[in-house]
Amino acid sequence: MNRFLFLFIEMALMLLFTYVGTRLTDLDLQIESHQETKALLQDIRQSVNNYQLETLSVGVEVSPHYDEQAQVQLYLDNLLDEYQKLQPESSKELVSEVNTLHEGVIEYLSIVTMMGTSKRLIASAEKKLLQLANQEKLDAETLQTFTQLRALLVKVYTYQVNTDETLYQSIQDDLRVYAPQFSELKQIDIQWSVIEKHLRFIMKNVVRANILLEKLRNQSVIESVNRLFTEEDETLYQIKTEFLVLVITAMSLFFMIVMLIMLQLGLALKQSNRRVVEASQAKEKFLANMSHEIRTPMNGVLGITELCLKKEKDPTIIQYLTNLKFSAKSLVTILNDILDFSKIESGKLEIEAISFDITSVLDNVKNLFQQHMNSKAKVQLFFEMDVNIPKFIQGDPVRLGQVIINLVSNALKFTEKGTVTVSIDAEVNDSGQMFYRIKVVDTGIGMTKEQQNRIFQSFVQADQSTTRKYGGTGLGLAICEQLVRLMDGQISVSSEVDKGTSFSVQFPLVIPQLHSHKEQNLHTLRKQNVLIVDDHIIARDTIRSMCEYLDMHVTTAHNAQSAVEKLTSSSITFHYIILDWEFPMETGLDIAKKLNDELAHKAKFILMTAYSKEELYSGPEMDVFHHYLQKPFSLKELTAALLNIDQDDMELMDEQKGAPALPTYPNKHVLLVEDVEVNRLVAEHMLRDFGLKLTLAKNGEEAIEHVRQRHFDLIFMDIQMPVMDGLEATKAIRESDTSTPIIALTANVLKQEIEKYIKIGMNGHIGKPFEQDTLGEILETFLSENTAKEVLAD
Amino acid sequence: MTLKDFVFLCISFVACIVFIIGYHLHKNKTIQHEEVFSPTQYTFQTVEGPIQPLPKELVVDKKWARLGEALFHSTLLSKENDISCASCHFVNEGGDDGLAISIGHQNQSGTRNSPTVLNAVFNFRQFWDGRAASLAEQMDGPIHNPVEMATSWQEVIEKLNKDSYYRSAFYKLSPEGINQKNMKRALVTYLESLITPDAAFDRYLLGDQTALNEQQKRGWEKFQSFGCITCHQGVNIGGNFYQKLGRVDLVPEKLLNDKGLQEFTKQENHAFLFKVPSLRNVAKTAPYFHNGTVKELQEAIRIMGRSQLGMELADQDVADIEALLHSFSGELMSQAL
Repeated sequence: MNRFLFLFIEMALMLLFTYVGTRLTDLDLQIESHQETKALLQDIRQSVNNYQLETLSVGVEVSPHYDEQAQVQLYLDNLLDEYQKLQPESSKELVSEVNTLHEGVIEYLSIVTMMGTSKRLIASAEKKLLQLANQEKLDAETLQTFTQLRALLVKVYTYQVNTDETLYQSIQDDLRVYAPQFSELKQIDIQWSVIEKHLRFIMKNVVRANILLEKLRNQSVIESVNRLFTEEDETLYQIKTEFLVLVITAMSLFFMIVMLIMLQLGLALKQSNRRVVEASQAKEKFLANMSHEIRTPMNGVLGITELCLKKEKDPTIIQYLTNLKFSAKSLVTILNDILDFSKIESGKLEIEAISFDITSVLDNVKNLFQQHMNSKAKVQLFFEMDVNIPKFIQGDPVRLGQVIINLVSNALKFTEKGTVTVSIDAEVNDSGQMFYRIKVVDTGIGMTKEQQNRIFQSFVQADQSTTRKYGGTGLGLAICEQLVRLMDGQISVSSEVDKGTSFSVQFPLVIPQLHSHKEQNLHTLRKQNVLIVDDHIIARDTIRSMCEYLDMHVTTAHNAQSAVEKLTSSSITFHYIILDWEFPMETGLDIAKKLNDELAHKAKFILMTAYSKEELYSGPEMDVFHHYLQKPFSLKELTAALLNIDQDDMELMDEQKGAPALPTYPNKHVLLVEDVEVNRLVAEHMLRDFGLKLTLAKNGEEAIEHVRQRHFDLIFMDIQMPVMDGLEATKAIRESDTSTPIIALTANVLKQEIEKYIKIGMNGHIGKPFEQDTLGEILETFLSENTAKEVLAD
Repeated sequence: MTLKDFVFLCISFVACIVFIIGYHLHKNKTIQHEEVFSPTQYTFQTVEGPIQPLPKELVVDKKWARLGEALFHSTLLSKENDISCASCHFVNEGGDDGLAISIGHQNQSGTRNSPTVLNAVFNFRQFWDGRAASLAEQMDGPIHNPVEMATSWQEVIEKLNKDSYYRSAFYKLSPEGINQKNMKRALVTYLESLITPDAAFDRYLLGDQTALNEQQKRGWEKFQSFGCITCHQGVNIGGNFYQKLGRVDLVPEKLLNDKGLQEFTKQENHAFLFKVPSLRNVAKTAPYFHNGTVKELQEAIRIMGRSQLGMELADQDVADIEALLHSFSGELMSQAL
């Protein structure tokens, strides 16, 4: 409807615009014609003036012929013709006035020219007589007649000037009386009858000639031309004013039309924008639903598998179950990938900018691939770190980790044997900006140039054929690329077929302003002296750079002898001594003993080796080592070893042994609210391993009932449930009880959702599918006597 | 709004502007046709005295003049394709037809003698009563007169358009083709070329004392002293103003049937006013006066002397003046075309 209204208004405006345009054209032409008329009227005025003057000059015999007068008259007539064509209406009066003038002129000229001739004839006769009289050739009688004639002529001349009636009568009488005498004048060439005729002609026409002359002198034509000229001027002014107004109107109409079109375009854009937003909202909702729907059964699959693994003794079944678990986890990974990708696509993924420990990110990556490494012994994973990189940098550790994991797993996937090296270094570009670069280099199958070009596209793999050897959704690198871009970074690849591939991601290096308390601990290592004894030059340099990074003074030695020399020759007091186990001729233990003997003071000995602790020689002599580091080790592990030997020793031990014994919480009572039976079963069994008292509820209503009856130390609350959902139940519980921690069990892992849970009073969440370890962490956080209060106080 | 709407609006808007521009061009008629025409130009020589010689040089647009000549001789200009301009105006024989009253459509006759077309361009007005201000205006007369060509411009244009010669000839000169304006332009250009310079009298005026014989010189003296010169002056020896026939005295009865300008203007004061006729080639344009009732030049001189000047001219005077009038005849400028 709106659209048609707009269209209608626009068409109306355009019609108006067209009308104004044509009207402007007309006015333009009118202005032109009026200006022409004005010029013409000026010419006419001049011409009428000339015409009157020329005619008058003919009357007084200035020029010998009348061609000029005739031409002036013709010119005036032509001008009038033009004027008549331009202004047929207003010209009528002027044309008739000029015609009247013409009529007068015609008659005047015919009379006045003839009168001139008559006067000349009479004058020539008079002259002749006068000559004769002067020569005294006239007899007395003739002389008398001549005198009478002269008297008469004087009367006639007087009459011409003063047309007196009595004079006229007297002349007429004289003519009659003296006619017989005059006709006797034979001395002149011209007969008296001729002179008499001319005299009578003059007498007859003098009055008329004077009237016509008066008319000729009349300025009425000039006046009416002037009047017309003024009228033209006024009309022209009016038209010009109208023209101006219309020009302004046309311009405003033009702008209005343009504005309207622009407005409509804007509205259309807004509308389409809204549609896009709606569509993306729908997509997001669909994703949330789908994620929930898939995660819920996956939780069951994973949980049950894990439970079965614990109960099962048959190794074959265990192998099957392990594979099943691996497959299920892969599925979850793929699911996460797709969700991540969708989130990035819809711009929902938020990148954090927090201060984080880059070494811990690398440690996580390393830990993740530890097991993988063991099963695929042909590939070795190395980590290298540039000493120039500060320990704490600003960024998003989770997403950075994700990128590295993706790249490493990709590298491992395509590498049959050889090495995968993850290295981090920092550099400064031309414009002075700092960057840190993470490189993942493998010795795998490599790619062609063409393949390199498309690997960052979604759902595309280097090997596009259906018979491809390696599986995957093809999302991994696309997600990496998107994430890197979101983090203002750049990703690039270089590769050679059968030689290997090198992925490189580069981010701006931002050093956070505030350091965490952990950073403070590093101060204790600063300026401390360390001796590194290793025969392998690369290993030595790696450890050296790590220590230098920690701002320690480093001394190196390649064997026992040089180590002893370094120790004795210098005045340095070594606080730490890091020893390798394997030397060509001796073991690390031998060197440690020698050094220990030489030492005047107590130093911390750290043993590093690729062997596991069990494989090494064990005995009381081994106590000389304060710490044990398994190669490869990260900076963090080194730091931990240097700082706090005992605690880390424990952790390392745990890692070696596999799953640690679960802590138990025998006095704690936990409420589990979960509607789906299989999930309830999984969670129940997982929780029972912690030695808890457990109460089960099928929905929110039951949960509230239980909470009313007794106190719980912890509540696990599913969100989506029939009868009453987790949100409603939480709100109800929070009305009376604000202290009991409530943990959401949900497949909804979108950030907004989780924020919503916290808002209504929940204390944490566990995403489905979850594992026993995750549960353990939550239990430890909320049920341990020493930490629970602390957390709740936060 | 869809893209379709937007495109539609834009096209409409452009259409509006194009319409306005088109309207403007149409109204303004700024599209000038390429037309080749140069107006006729004369080179006048001026002398002391009332009579001026005819120009001996002229520049005329020959293409238009030739087309005008063809039209002048074309009988297509009359209703029954039997009369042309040349039927009554023999350009090589004084520019008239020698008849008292010409014969027109269906052998009908009018009331006036056909005046000469030679030097007509120098007459200040056309027709005996000068009712047409220009040659172009004059042409409307014979074309429409029921006793002359008895047709109309429209009819003539239609006939000419069927004629391949005239069609191509007109279109060559003007993209407008055959219309009244172009026909008049052609005919006027032709008439403008019809001048008869180099008369004996003109040579005399320009200083050749031998150009006139003794009698003619006497005639010239009398022409002036009697007062003939009052009206017959200027380049055309007349033809530049009106004068009343019988100004001073009576005129013969046979000349009184026509009241001259009064017939046209109905003004009482215009009775017997006629345009003073040119005396150029007067010896070749008998019979004389507006109705052609005077066959002899001598008679015409006597009538003029009596009616206009009140003089009864002696035989010797008439003979002298007649001799002078012969010196007013010139040769048609053949090199003009």
